Amino acid sequence: MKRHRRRLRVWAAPAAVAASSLLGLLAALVGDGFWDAVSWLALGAPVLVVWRFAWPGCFHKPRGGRGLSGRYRQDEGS
Amino acid sequence: MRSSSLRAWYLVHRWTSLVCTLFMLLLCVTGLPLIFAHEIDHGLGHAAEAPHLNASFADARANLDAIVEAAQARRPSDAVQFLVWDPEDSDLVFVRLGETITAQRPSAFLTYDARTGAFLREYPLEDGLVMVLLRLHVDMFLGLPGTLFLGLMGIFLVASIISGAVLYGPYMGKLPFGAVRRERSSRIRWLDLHNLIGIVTMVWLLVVGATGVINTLAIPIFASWQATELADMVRRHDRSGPDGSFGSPDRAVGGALRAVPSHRMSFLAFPGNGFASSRHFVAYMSGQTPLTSRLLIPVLVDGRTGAVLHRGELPWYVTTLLMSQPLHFGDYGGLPLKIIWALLDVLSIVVLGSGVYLWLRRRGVPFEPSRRGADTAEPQLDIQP
Repeated sequence: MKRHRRRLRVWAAPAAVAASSLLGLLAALVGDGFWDAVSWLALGAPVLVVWRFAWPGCFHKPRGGRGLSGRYRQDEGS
Repeated sequence: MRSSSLRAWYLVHRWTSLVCTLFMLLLCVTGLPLIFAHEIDHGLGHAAEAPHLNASFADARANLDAIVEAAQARRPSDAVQFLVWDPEDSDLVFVRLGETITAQRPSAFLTYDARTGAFLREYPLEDGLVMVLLRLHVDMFLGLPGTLFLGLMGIFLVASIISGAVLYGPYMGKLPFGAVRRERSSRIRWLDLHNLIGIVTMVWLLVVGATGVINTLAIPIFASWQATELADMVRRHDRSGPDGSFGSPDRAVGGALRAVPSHRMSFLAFPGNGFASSRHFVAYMSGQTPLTSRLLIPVLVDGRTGAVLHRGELPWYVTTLLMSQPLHFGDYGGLPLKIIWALLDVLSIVVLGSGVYLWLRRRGVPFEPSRRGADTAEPQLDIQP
């Protein structure tokens, strides 16, 4: 069970991004106008995710504050 | 997952990536401007715009025979191979000529106004920046062997993506999604970035990579269709009809459009060309919805009478090729989709580059078995110094 939960935790976000990418790739094939807009939003998701995490300064205070980097600091001291 | 199988996946990831990375960097870098090939061509003035005419010309259609004659007069020693209609602007029609009717490469690509028949411009086939980038991207100026080689590299890329995704799970066992450990060494920071960007761009790069591999088979796919189904269709009708003139392209197009009114012209192959019969035209017609506009119906037409002799269908392997093209080019959802395509392309370059960096600064195989005890434990990643 523990392993199952871990797998869920690790893969939930990547699976959501993957599903969104797939929707984005297919939507613009189906139709124009509305479907193009769906495609831009859904395929834009992976780009936004990278922006959000790789440049945390854009959304978060990077260090010192309650940003991401503090959250897992205890995990890595092995 | 057992450490030994993790180690195997790691080695698959390392070696498939190393084999293809250099070529993938070439493809990503040349592909980036190619996403905007249409816009670049217009910006450089290579692509013609249909001039603005008053409303009385809206439905006017010039006689195609006159356009073909004018193009022939411009290059008397060449043969007219195809008439091609602009998929986005129905007021533009192109005449493709070759040194012979069957020549693989065009010798000239002339643009005409489909309403008035006026000559607009000639596309620079040799010195266009887009053409150079396209050749680098398609075959590295090596012809079909170069294309097939790049296809093989694409297969390595797909294997590299899949093995990378398998490694992502164990690697992220103790880290939250999106973790980038900035305070650690630059190797660890780049490892985190490589994993993050790699996993979120995975589906896009898989699709672009796999459809790229399919596109490398375009020449063999069309050759196989020409040799089998098209040859059959042509043979059934070629016996009838006398030799001599093949009639008028204008009449052929008129006949095809009357027979399949739901479709528009994509291109017309001239008699003697590999995409037509020796005596008859083949009109290739595309649908009007986003999905069917990518597919083609071949219609065999007699240019003397305008009679449709046969309405064919493309086999699944040609349909697969045609459907894979937009998914590789990213040209099917307007400019915003192209911009997203370009951003994802840049992110892929980061993944490739960081992969090389991580390999150069590697510290042994990180999934060594039994470095930290038995296989029963969750795999430990020896990524720390």
